[in-house]
Amino acid sequence: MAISEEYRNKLKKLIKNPIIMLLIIAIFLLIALFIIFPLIKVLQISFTNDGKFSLDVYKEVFGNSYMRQGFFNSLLIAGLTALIGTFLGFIFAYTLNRTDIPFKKIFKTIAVIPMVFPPFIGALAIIMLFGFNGLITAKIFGVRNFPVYGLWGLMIAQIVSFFPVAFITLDGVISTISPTLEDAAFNLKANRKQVFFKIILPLSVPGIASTMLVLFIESLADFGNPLILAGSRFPVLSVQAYLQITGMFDLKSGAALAVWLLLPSLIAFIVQKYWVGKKKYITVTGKPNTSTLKSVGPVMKWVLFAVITVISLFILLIYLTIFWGAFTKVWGMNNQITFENFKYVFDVGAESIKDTLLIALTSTPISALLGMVIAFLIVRKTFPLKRTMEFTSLLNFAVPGTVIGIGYILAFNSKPLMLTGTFIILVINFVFRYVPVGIQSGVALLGQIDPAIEEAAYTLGADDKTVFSKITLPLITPAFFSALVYSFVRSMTAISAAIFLVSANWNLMTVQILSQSDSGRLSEACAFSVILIIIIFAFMGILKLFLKNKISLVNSNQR
Amino acid sequence: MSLNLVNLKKVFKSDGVENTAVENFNLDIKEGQLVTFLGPSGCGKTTTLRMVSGFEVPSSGKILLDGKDITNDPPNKRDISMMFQSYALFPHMNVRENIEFGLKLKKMSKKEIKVKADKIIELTGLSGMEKRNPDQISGGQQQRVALARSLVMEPKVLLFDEPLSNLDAKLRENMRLEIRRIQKELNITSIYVTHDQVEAMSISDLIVIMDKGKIMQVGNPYEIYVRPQNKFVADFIGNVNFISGKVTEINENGIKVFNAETKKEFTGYSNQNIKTGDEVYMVIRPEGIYTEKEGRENSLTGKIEKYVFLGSNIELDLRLETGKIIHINEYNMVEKELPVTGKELEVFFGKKNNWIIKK
Ligand SMILES: Nc1ncnc2c1ncn2[C@@H]1O[C@H](COP(=O)(O)OP(=O)(O)OP(=O)(O)O)[C@@H](O)[C@H]1O
Ligand SMILES: [Mg+2]
Repeated sequence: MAISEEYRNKLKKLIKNPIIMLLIIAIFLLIALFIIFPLIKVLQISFTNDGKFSLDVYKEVFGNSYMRQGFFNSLLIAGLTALIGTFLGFIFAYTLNRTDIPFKKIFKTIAVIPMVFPPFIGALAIIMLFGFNGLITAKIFGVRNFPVYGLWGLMIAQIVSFFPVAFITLDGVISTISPTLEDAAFNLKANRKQVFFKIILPLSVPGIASTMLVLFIESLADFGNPLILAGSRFPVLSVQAYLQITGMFDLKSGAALAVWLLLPSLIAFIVQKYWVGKKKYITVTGKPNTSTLKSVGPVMKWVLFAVITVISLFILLIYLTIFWGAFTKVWGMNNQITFENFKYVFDVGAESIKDTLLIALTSTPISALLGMVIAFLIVRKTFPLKRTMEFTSLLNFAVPGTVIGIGYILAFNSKPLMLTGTFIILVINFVFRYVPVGIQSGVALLGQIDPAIEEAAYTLGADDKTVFSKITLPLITPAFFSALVYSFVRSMTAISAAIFLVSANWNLMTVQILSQSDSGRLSEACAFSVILIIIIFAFMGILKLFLKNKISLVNSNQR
Repeated sequence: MSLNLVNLKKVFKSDGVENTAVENFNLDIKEGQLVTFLGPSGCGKTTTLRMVSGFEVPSSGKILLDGKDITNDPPNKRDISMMFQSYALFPHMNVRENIEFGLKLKKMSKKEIKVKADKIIELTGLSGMEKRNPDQISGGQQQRVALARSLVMEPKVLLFDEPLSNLDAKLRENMRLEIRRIQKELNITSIYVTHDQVEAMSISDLIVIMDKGKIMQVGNPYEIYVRPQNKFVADFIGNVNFISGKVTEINENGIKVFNAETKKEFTGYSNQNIKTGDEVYMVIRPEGIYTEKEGRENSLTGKIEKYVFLGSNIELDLRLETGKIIHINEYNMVEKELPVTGKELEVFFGKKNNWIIKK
């Protein structure tokens, strides 16, 4: 018996219900084409020479000490950002969850602010504050050669940019550790130190590890910050790959560098998903936990308060600088208040504002809906290669934008998929890059919804389409909208992959901001950024009005 | 609509380990019958129900509805409604919308939908709550919405998976009667899964006793209780005493069984094909044992171990010389003396109360 009767039955059932089958096949095709194929292209070109398999490109790249340096720098900065970012995020989350300090709401809001800004704004502000004409270094202390370019400046910029990721994950971890566990430990005559080191910390370890890995991946993939801040003094892989391709037109070396960027990222992702992810403790019991807040002593409480105040002020400083910069004539030289920058932006950048908005508004709903559909299939349906679908559809969490960008120009540069330079390629890129968050929040939410609710609909005669649109989708609206907001924000602020895909016809605001700051027009870059922020807030405001505050929008970014 | 389950089997594979949840499952249900599945946790009741409703694909076997093979039809193409243990009400719809959900999919006219829904709302006593959401009504009312939502479809077959297990005892009794009344009134073929013996006894036309994925016995409540076909069924339903023995003689008076420990011979009866020399169990219900002889052919002697007076009856444990404990349930103690612990006592049971099954 080659095929079991059960398998035949399943096939027959599938054939009687072709929508789901076609959908599954279509999604596999899309994943293969827009996620896997570009990656294969990158690998392929980096491993061939004259049409034959060869390691020549790698030999060349690794024979070059400058490029070797890039690899080690990337790992170094990613490691440092992960460690310090997680440490600070933990202090922040712990203080907000386990003490009764004032202004908690304000602190919480500040901690997530960087999420809605383009990731490289941190770098821009750091130059404006600590650079050659920096407000703090040059204007206040008269220091002109403060070493912001390089490791430390970059690290600070990245920590600020990725702080929300660390805070939100760790906040989720600590807030689910039931305070009653601490009470129980106190009851057993443990002191505060013991309670922290024996209870809270061990229970947070999986969350901490997971945060570090995520920060590691984000930092490796970061492109904007190192492009602005690190330059040639502190080469990192993502920038090197970009420069190889756009500066030297050396696609092969660029691809090889991208592969080296991809590897540590993939390893971190797999460790995070399949090892750390499995180790989560569940300490929420469903019973109300009235926190008694005994685990932090009065002195410690104010020390922590001071620390998170400093962090918050620094974050505020970074982003206020951008706003201030947008209204000054020439940052650092002529601080007159002016609106000219905005006029300039509309003159030069009106097209790119329109393009960015159009692309984001097109890709966002597609991405969010696709995320929900994939989540539905993964959680509720059984079909062959289901785990493969899950893994590959989430893969873009781990693939640095630079790699994707290079993959896309390699893959879609010839017929029949001649897409480079078009609107479509940008939309497709954003759809598949930001779909993982939708999938994850959809999967998480669906996991909590009794499958019997959907089964009930089936027994009442509903087909798959009706069940999905009338039952599943309404029940996972919160996940849908958080995916919507997340992918809108990310599409508006994206740079690392998009920079390879923009063209004269279709340009993005982020690319404009980068090129403005590259040519020293910091105030104009700031004005661009401010407009970007206004668009993002307007979008969130409209959604909020539309939803009448039913759903909290700031819970994206979970992994 | 008649429903036939033919040789159903379901094997779950997880991480390479095979787990047979249901096998060798044959059952014929006639139109309008209510059949209960009864058995210990994990014996495959839900799995069988889910195969009938189309949510699990059988590993082998067939499901016939009115003679038509529906084994591979998707759930929404079967005329089978299911009422879930968790109610599974749609949280984002109010009571009326929940009830009308299936009708709307049938593309009925608005008027027709309203007439049908109104009727079922009336029947299930939900009038006045149509506008409320599921989280604004009590557990018992949610239960009724779930029932109404299934019934309004006028399905050919209705499946219930422990529909009353979340309710308190009083409400459970009421709802049980209600389900039975409506089921009879609309003549809907039904399968009803429960853990509760009393529930099964009180509403079923047929009871299916299951263990480890297999059917142990099918019969009406009387047959199941009075004529269990194996030790599992006898033990599972009600309280019971087992005495083992060997058949010595079979005649028109009944079956004679010799028990080696007590060195006594007992008379009983059976509908099984029992032959002289067979090893058997005698199945004796506690309420079939009396303290008066009155023509009963079998007797046992022992010391009173303990007793509990429960008002209408007394539960008494008798320790035989062999050490075995026999449970006795005697009714109406008003005209009798209370037992004395430690005292010797002879008890009697007739052959009608001595049911014999093969080992
Ligand atoms: N999806 C599944 N995958 C693997 N094994 C399963 C699955 N569903 C059920 N089983 C197994 O099949 C067996 C029968 O389960 P089933 O749910 O049918 O029992 P049940 O009789 O309904 O029990 P209960 O009275 O506890 O509801 C059990 O051993 C169970 O662990
Ligand atoms: Mg069950």
